[in-house]
Amino acid sequence: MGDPDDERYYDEFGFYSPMPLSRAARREPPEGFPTGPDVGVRLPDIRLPDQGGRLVDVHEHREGRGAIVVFHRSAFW
Amino acid sequence: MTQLVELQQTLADLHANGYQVYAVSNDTVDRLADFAARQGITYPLLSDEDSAVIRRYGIMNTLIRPDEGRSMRWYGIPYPGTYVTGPDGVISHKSFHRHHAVRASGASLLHTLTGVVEVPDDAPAAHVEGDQVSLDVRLLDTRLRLEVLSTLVCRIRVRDDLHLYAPGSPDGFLVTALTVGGTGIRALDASWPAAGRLRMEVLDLEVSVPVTATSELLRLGHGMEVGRATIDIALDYQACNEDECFLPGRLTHQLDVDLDLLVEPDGLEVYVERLAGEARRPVALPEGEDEGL
Repeated sequence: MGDPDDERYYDEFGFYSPMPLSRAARREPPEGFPTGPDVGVRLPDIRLPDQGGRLVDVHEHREGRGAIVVFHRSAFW
Repeated sequence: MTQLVELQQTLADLHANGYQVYAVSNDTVDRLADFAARQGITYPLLSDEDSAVIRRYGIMNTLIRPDEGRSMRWYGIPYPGTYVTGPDGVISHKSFHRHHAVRASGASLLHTLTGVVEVPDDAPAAHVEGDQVSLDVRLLDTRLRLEVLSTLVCRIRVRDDLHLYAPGSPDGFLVTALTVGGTGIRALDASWPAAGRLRMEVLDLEVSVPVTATSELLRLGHGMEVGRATIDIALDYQACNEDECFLPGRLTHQLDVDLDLLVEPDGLEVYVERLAGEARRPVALPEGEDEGL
């Protein structure tokens, strides 16, 4: 495990992780990085398998309710 | 990771307020199945294995080369963020932060979306009484987690024959200001209710301040076993009636909060083992030649 007192493990945001800054997963995007579709447009279709392998179509699955769609880096690391 | 577990904890409230929850990553179905089983995740964790959806959304992280971190599937990850739609499927709210570890807690998200303030009974709260003004502060979460944004709701009540000055008032007026900070505490911009000309129109103001605990706490020797932190809150104001002003006032409070660890990913163990292996090697791998964690 990295040393919390070691400056080399802190990024420009002051965030500590035991992974050295040179690792790809610790590169942070510049200001103005793309954030995808904007507020006011229809959420583009998402049709993907879930953790049980079942195909989920977000717009069908939400059955007229609102949707919270989280894009995340990984459930593994 | 932590965010996905937190969403599960808030799921019933989100459902009750009319929202379904989905998570998308380029993880394989197998890895998602394993994670869902271990953490008890019941909402859909969607597998965008070839990053087709992530690319179509235009949010693939292009800072990672295809040859980096293959075993961890680094290539093809999105810039992390959240979209919220109304019942019509139209995006009503989106939230992306430059830093991957900064994201809203479930309770904080619910507060942003619905304005509902549902405070757990054991969430830190305090009441401070001044001469003309009182201040109630409540954290929307029971605990703070490192880099997860919670919301500190500050309720300012003014005696009903008085008024306070709003930000943007000319020189000479002492505008109402809320300062939130502390060692290892980061506060983002506060959301103030709309003000009328010069003065706060309401005598019962609710101000939301996003707050989080930062890695600075680890430097203080807490290690990964972080325990508690203190949020310093100060309210500066000058209360006036139509004829005269009282002396400027300041209300302060220190809110002690418990800290929670992040949910550690399974991959971290793999990484720690590799790091131990590298430490035993006389020469470290050149930059860019690492394979995964």
